[in-house]
Amino acid sequence: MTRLAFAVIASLALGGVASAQGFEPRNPECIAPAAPGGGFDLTCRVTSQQLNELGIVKPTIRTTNMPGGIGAVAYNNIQARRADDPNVIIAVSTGSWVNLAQGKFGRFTENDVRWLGAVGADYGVLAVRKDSRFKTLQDFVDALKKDPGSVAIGAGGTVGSQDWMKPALVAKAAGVDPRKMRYLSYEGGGEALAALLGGTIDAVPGDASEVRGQLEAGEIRVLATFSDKRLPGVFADVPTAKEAGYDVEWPIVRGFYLPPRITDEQYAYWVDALKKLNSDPRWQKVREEQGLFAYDLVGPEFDAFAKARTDAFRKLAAEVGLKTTGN
Amino acid sequence: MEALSSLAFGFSVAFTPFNLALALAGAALGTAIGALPGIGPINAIVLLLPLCFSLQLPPESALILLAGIYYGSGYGGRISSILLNIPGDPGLVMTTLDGYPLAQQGRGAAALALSGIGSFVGGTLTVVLLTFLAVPIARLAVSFGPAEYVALMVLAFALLATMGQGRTAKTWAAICLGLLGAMIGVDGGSGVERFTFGSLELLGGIDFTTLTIGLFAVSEILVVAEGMRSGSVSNLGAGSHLKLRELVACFPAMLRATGIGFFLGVLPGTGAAVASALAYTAEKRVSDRDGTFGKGDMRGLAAPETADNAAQTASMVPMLALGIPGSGTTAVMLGALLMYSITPGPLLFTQRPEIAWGLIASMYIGNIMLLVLNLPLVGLFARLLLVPNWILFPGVLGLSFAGVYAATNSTFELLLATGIGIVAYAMRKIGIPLIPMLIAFVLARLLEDNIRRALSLSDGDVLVLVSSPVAILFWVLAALTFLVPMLAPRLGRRIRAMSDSEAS
Amino acid sequence: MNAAGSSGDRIAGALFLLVGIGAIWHAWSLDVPFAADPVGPKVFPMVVGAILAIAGAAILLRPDRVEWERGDYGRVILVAVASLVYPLVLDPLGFVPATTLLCFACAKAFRGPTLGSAIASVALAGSFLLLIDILLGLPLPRGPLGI
Repeated sequence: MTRLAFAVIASLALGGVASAQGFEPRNPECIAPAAPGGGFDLTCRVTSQQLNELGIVKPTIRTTNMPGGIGAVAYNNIQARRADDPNVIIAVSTGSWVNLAQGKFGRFTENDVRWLGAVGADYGVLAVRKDSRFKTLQDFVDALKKDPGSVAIGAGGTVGSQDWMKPALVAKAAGVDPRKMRYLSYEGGGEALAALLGGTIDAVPGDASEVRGQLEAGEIRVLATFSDKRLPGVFADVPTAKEAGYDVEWPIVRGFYLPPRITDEQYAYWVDALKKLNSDPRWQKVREEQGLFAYDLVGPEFDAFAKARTDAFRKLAAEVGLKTTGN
Repeated sequence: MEALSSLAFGFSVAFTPFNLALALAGAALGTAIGALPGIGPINAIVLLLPLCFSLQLPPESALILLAGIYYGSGYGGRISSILLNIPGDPGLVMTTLDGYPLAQQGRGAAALALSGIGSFVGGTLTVVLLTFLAVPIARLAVSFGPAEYVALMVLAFALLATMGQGRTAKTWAAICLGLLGAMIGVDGGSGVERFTFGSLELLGGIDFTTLTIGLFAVSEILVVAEGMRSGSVSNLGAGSHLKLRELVACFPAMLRATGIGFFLGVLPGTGAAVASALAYTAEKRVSDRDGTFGKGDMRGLAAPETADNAAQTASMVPMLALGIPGSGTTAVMLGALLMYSITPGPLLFTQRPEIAWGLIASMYIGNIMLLVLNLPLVGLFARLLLVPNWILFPGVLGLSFAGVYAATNSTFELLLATGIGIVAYAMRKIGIPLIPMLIAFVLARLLEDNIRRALSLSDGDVLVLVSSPVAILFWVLAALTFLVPMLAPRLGRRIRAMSDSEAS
Repeated sequence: MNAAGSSGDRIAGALFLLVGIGAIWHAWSLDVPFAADPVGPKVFPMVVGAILAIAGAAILLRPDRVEWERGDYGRVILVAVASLVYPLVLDPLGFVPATTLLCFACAKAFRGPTLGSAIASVALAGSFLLLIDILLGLPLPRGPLGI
């Protein structure tokens, strides 16, 4: 009850500030480009609930699900029908840029929307069974170098998806052709983890949040995190890939984009909202509960980051012979 | 015995008046939401999750509410499957086979009651197994490799192909159409697009719900509109209650179905739809001596209903014991746990016993609540059929479309559902069975992905597919499934001929 | 009004044959940069396409004489056309008007009285909006009328 009362007071106080800016969204909407229950859906529901509860955005934000083509349908829907709608934010993650780079979003490119900002990030990790022959990332790379076919890697994504990209980058850094990897594609991260525990595969390039429970229980060993510095908590003892000598980073950024033809004022409103959210300790607590780490990149810096990432993915995809958007 | 005392502790958590009321409320809400076509258990949980937060429920109470919703929404979908021949999600398709004929014979209430009892039996027996054996079973389940999955899928296709709904060539055509339909989208092993014809909407494949609504809801409404089959039922009163004798006759079927449902539910990747399909086809093989299956046989209804709920419950096993979501719904439950800062996994039972055992106790309670809530209401549900056709069917069509749109926000999905429905209507007219098509669609990726995984691990050596005792067992069963119906009549004739010649 | 004929089977058989061959052709012409497994993405659609083509040929060459129930096709077409038009008018008209039209056309196809059908259609469409959009919070499209 006190929390609720506090939220009301906070909304009154902060609401006054927001309305002074001029632009105020009407019937705002968060589009989760996936079916209910997935990562995008959670990003939308949790973020919009917090934006409302903390009083940063006054009108209630509704979550709309728009699955199809791993985000492609939502991307195209925005271009075609809502290119100037300032009342809608759309969830995005690193996986979307991987697909964008490979032309899976149709004829539109990363320059066709306004990238808003991140609210948190998960990080890629490389997990093996607790009794695995691999003790360190170096063991894993050595085995790959000796015979790429001797290491069965499995994850919940297709060839070319971000789960495939993580080990591909490691292989590339070690001078091994990623196409020679023995990669098994699963329906989801859960199935891949089950196959790891059951001994079908040797390694899972998963996400930190999805392997945390197994790591705590000592069921698995994490060889490396693909982060710029060590992750906190149970991951504190796990070296980053960089420490092991392989410069591979894979943040799974969770953020939002906006339609392309909104005004700068409208863009500034949403940038301001996300900045307030990211600096609020109550959001930081919620974010941590979601298994997400801090990733404060909002506004033009995020825009540049999104474009640079997409471009890097395009180069990588082209290098290994995957289809890419033609530039 | 440690499990018993832990369970007692779990019940002490769950047995507060407040938590019991939540379980009942969850079952009621779930039943209501599940009855809407196109909105299954996953959506029901996602939609009601915010409610748990806004009510500021403690985590164990929230999980008890969600478990009630989970069971309730599974049951709610059965109402339209049995009474209208319209299953709302793929797990309920087999329910229509004998449930709908029963409703047409005026036994709708009895069928709904049996469905509820079957669910209760399947769910409860599975929770008992889960209580005592969760960890060893989960360990066993994850060691099931690609070769074993392939053999299991071959057995499933063998059962499906010999299900005996019409001519063999037509059944195979239906199976192939289902398989091809499932290949639409991005291929996992190569990242290549197959059968998308440049459509972005098809990149992620055809959605299960859209397919089910098209194949069954739209085509059924077209068939009824044609007017050759009356959707209304003449008598609702006489003999509509479930007789004890009928119930007792179903118990062997329920036990077998619990076994099948439990096994397939625990395996990651196979869910309630596969379980109910296999339970039905297997039960038909075992019990259908007089050809009554498909014409309103109680056992043909009890088997898929029991297996469906057993599988739903069993899919919790890998989540609770190992922290691995085995199905879409458990992934959502896992998300719910995470929102409460609870990390599911092997440590859940020691770190947060009130959550783990409270949830298990709530599964017992959820099953009971479902029975308590729905058994008195079956008569009322059956009266749905008294609504005139010109209100009932437009309502079902509008609601199905609204459900599909609400979950996807895409008019393309509606067009797809209608298109599939019109094709399905034409297929029904010339006797091409739809159920093998849907089940083949569900099984397709399991079959293809696992063959490719197995051969990837073996460098293309096909012998890997028969390299383990479990796999060999399934291959033998599959071979028997094909051979027995071919040989049995001849053998029977020969034996009869022999006895005839002896007699003469 | 029952009729028996084998033309339905012949058409279906021919279509299956074509779809099967089409699937094989589509799989054959897939451009695969590289596959992570020795089987690749082509084999399955080709095998399934071949089985479908064989099944289609079998049905085409030995069609069954199907007991053809002949009902009121006008009503089938009415429901089918209403269902096909519905997605196209849903966004421009909004959920309630579009769903009212769908339900009304459908109710007429089920031989409902005109006035009763009209009242029932409005009531159904309104209650679905209340149930799904307002109570469950799943947004449905709002048209110019705001419903």
